[in-house]
Amino acid sequence: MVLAMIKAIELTKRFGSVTAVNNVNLAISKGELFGFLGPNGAGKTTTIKMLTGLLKPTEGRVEIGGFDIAKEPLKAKSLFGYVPDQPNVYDKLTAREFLTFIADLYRVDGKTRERKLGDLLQLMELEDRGDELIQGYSHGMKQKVAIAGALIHDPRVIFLDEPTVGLDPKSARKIKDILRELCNRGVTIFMSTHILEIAERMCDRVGIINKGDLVAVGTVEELRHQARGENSSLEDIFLQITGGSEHEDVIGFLGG
Amino acid sequence: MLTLLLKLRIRVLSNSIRAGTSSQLITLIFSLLFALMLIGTSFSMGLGLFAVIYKTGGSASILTILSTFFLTFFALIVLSSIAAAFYAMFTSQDLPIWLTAPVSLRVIFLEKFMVHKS
Repeated sequence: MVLAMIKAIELTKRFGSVTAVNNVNLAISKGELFGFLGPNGAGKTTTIKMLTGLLKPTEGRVEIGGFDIAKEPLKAKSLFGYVPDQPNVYDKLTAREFLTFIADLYRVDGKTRERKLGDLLQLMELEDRGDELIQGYSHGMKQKVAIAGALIHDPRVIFLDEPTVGLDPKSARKIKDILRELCNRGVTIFMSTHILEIAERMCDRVGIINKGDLVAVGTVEELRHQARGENSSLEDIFLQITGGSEHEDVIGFLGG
Repeated sequence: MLTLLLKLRIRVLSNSIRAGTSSQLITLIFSLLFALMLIGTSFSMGLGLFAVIYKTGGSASILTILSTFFLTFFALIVLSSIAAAFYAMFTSQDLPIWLTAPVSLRVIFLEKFMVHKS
């Protein structure tokens, strides 16, 4: 039996009377790239925050690499890297210092740290500006530093919340290639995105969340079959599942 | 882990000063002034207490008032520092870095306490 590297069991989060995430069950295997889709406010970020231990679920539990994140948080957290939707990096550190700090936080030994640091700065095309303070970086460059920080300890699982937002096409392509290569090497990736083309082309499986409910999970082919549209794009399937027929209202509003 | 936290704080502070960001430096100067004020106040209060005991032969009521005042003063300082550290802990933008890392909540609190103090 293949061990599920990410497992969500009956995951529920309520904020007062609002149910942000409702009874989500997921199992993502080693080396799988899982795309997590949903409209704004559907519960994507809340789910990622519960999976990474940033939010305590109201009900249910999360296992990373077989470790319950509530019962064995340090073991579970040592296995994954996390890239939030906003690159929260220390503006008053240089990229090199920030990556050194993250490596120390994850107890990466000195020799490996120096090697990884050089490799990652080169990979992210930041080697020329690695000794400048992050406060002078653009959003895209900060995003690259955050991604490098998530990779420096060779995680077995990576969570990314909208990783390509703010990146130029060349950098976005590079990140996509890196993620695909990591999956080929056995790293499990859980990625939320709004860009359906990325999910369609890159992900092994996708999950669609709408109003807190996980309404569909499977490969794009399986979702096409479910949606009974053999030639449908993921966008068509997504709009069909999430009830995206509002464009008719928009046309009506514009008097079309 | 303490060394790591200290290294981080020193780096952030030295980079801020090098970059000409005065706010961190001003905070540091105020913290030092506050510490000096605290030492001075404690010293003068201790001296006053000694004078009262020496002159009056140790009146119980004055001693009680002074010691209560002294303890309350320090308790307030300690409690406000802890409250500020908790506030920093729950509002800082770098929290996801700490909360998703394999470090205990105790270490995160210590880091925020140091941020508040620096």
